[in-house]
Formats: sequence, C-alpha cells, structure tokens
Amino acid sequence: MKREQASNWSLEFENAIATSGLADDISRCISCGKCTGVCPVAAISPSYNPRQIIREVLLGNYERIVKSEEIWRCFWCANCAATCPSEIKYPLLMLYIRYFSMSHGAGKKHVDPFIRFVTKARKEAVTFQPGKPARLDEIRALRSSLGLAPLRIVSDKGIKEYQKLFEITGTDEWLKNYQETPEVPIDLSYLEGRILVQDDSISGSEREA
Amino acid sequence: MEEYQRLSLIDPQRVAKLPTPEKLFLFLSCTGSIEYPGTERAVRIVGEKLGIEFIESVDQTCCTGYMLTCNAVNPQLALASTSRNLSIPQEMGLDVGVFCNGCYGYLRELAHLLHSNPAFKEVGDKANEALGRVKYHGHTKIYHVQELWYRQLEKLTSLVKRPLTGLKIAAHYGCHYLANKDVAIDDAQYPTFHEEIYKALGATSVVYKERRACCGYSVGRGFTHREETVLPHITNKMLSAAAAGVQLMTTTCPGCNTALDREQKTITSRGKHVSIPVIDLSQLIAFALGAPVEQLGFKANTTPVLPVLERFVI
Repeated sequence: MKREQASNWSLEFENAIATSGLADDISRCISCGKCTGVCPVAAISPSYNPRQIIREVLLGNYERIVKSEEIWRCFWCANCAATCPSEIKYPLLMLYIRYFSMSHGAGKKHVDPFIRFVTKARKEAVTFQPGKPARLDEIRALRSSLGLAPLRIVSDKGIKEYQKLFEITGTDEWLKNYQETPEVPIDLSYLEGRILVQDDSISGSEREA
Repeated sequence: MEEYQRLSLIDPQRVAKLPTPEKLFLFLSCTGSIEYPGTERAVRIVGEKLGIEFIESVDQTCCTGYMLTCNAVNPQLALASTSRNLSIPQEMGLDVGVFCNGCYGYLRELAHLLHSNPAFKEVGDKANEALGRVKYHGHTKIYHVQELWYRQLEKLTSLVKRPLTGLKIAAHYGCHYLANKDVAIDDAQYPTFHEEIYKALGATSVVYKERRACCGYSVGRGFTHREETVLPHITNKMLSAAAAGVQLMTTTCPGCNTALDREQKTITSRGKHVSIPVIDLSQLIAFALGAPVEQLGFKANTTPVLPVLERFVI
C-alpha cells in the first residue's frame, strides 16, 4: 500500500467535474469547513472530511480520490449543501466522484448490493417491492384494509415505457459495462485526515506519530 | 423538558406564496407504498378535510432517485424518468404533491438539472419523444404535502377533533426537503414549523440534542455502512430523543420512518433500550382530525404506536 505518485495528479480532474454538469463550480470553495462541521458522517468517522475531499479534487489529486474508501461514506443528507456559503452542491460532487471512481473499477463493493434493486425495478417500475410471498401477503392485507390497491402496481404501459428508458438512455449498456469491469481493490484510506499507510512494517505508534 | 420556545426562522413570504389547491397530482412513493401504506391513506384523509383532491396515475413509475444516488444506474435514466413522470401531471394540468422527502428532493434536483443544462434537457426530451409523450416543459410545480399542511395551519387547528394534550412529540425533519434552501419555507439548520403544527394539534413539542441529525438511510448507506456508521448514528439520535422524554416522533419521509422505526429493535437487542413510536406527520394530523385509527395503518410499525395514542381515542 503506497502513497500516491506525482504522475497520478491531474488538473483535468476538476475540468471533468465541471463538464459533467452535475456539480457546480467547486473552485468557489473557501475551505471554511462548515460542511465538515455539520456532517453527521464526519461526527462518527473523523477520517471522512468533506473539506479535505474538495481540496483534493481542486489540487487534482485524483488517485487519492479514486482509490479512497472515504468517498463511499457520505449519507447524502445534503446538510453541507444547505449550509455552504459558496453554494456548492457537495452531494452532486460526491455522486460524480463515485462514478469517476467506478470508471476506474474501484468501489464496486459499495455499488453491487443495489444492482438487484435495479434489476427488479426494471421489471416492475417500482423499487423495493419485496420478493417473499409471505411479506407480499402482509402488505396486500394491510393495504386492502386501508382501501388502497392491494399492491402498488404500475400499469403495463408504464412498465413498458420505463423499460424503454433503460434502452434509449444507454442504461442497459451501462449496466453491462459495469458488470464486466473487473474490480480494483481500494488501497488508500485516511486516518483523522491523514493518509493511512497500510504497511505492516510500520508499527501502530509510528503511524500515529 | 420545557416546550420549544425559540425565534422562528420560517419565511412568511414563502408560506404565503404556497397555493391552497383544490386538486393535486399525488406522486406515489415506492417505500411509502410498501413499508407504511398508512401514510398514503393519511395524506388523502388530511387532503379531504382541507378540500384538496389527490389524483394519482398508474403510469407513474419510481422516481429512480435512490438507484441514481446509489450509483447503480447512469444519470441519464434518472433524468429521463423524471422528465417522463413529470409529463404525466403536466398533461393533466396539475401541480404535484409529494409525501416522501426522497422523491421530493430527487424530483426537484433532477428537474433543476434538466432545465439548467441543455444536454440534460435533450436527454429528457428525446426520451419523451421516443415514448410518444409530450415534452416536459418544467412549469409543473412540485410541493411537499407538509408545506401545504402548514400553509393551512389555521384551518387545521379549527378541525382538530382529538386534541393531543400532554403528548410529548419531537420532530425528525429529514434532510431532502430542508436542503432545498431556495424554496423550503424554513431554515435548514433550525426549522420550527413542525413544532408549530404539534402546538396547533394541542401537543407539547420537545427538543432533543440530535434533532437535526439525518436518518442515515439515504443513498443505501443502510446496506453498505450499516455497522460502522449508520447504526451508531441512529443510536445516538434515538437515545438523545429518549433522554429528552420524547413519547412520539414524526417524520415526513417513509425512508426516514423505516430507518428510525425499524432500527430501534436492533438498538434494543444490543442492550440500549429505546422505544419511541415513529409515524408520519400526515398520520399524526389525520389522527388529531379524528380519522379512524384502523385507517392509519399503524400495524406496519415495528415500534408499537397505539400505546401512546389510544388514550386520545374516545
């Protein structure tokens, strides 16, 4: 497990984010740290630091970002965006960074659990509909007793149109690519804002020093 | 604890600008339909009392926001399905009422992206064209029902049939409504409008330390980071509510409700006892307005609700 190399720095990273159309101009960041102050994840895992992540992005340190465990922690509560004096939409930046990381084959373990929801949603145009018959019966009974349709069912027309969206927006292709991309293990994580070098030859106390 | 008394940061101008519609398109929530169907029923009951008729459509699909923010689909699918879903109420000439903070936040953000970026707009337009639908123009307004309830607070107050005297209620606002700071009627960090609603229903509002903390379940972290972050986070939140003497908590998002209600069982099984029923704000209002309890679907809750509410049923 190594520190990043100088050659892995790229100023094009920020440009790529700007042209993605998702996150606004993050160069407006004044590093005030309000995002980190209101962040519930930072409160529990101090190694997760939104201010630092924005800084890394602006410095073009994409290797650290792509291979970082930290970028997968965000809850997307958007408290940072609600409090940011520079009006940066950090959750959308996070969304982009995660796609970027995935395009390098990293972070798949944090995306894989949701692929089954997508496969099911593609069939039903509704997310989270359970598969277990007993649970479905429970839901049917309760909904019927409330005078609602036994299950939330989208019309055949709606389902067909939804499936067509998967085709025409390239989502089917995207999913195929995703599944075919081999996973690259993540090998960098931060410790209280510093990179944790996972090298067994360094003892814990030296690492802390 | 004393009743919540602080400076209100609610924006009266934004509240006044909200409509009092007679008809709205009801945008259905996947989590709501499955986990807490009573919420959907309660929204209709409160709407009926306030003279709002909700129209739904079986053609409306999932908002796709959850799958997008879990990075499990590409952004184009979410943009196209937003464009398609919003073209349905547009055709009916109706504005949209949403009862899930998730659907609300995603619809708003994706509609904003569609209209601020021509390339994204094209994705949406092309999709609607391929499906033989009219283009989505972006004039359809999206409201969360909680703000529409607050808009008619006086009328709500006059309709209360079961004053909730002595009931200590605390709010979980959820993030994806308040984070829309360009339109939300209250301050994102120090909101108070739910407390005003409790007061109108005759209840006592309670503040607790982790009141503004999120539920931890959005973008799927409940699956990927449950042990290391989400459970410690929810445990802190619910214990701080228990310490403040909260008897009932309300949410405005079925997703938050699932996290805060269902996870209490896990927290308790690990030795920290907590039992605070968590229901939707619309369910609470419908209850106070006299809706039959069996119509509110409290059976769906993991933490029993009736022990704190049954004394108000005459």
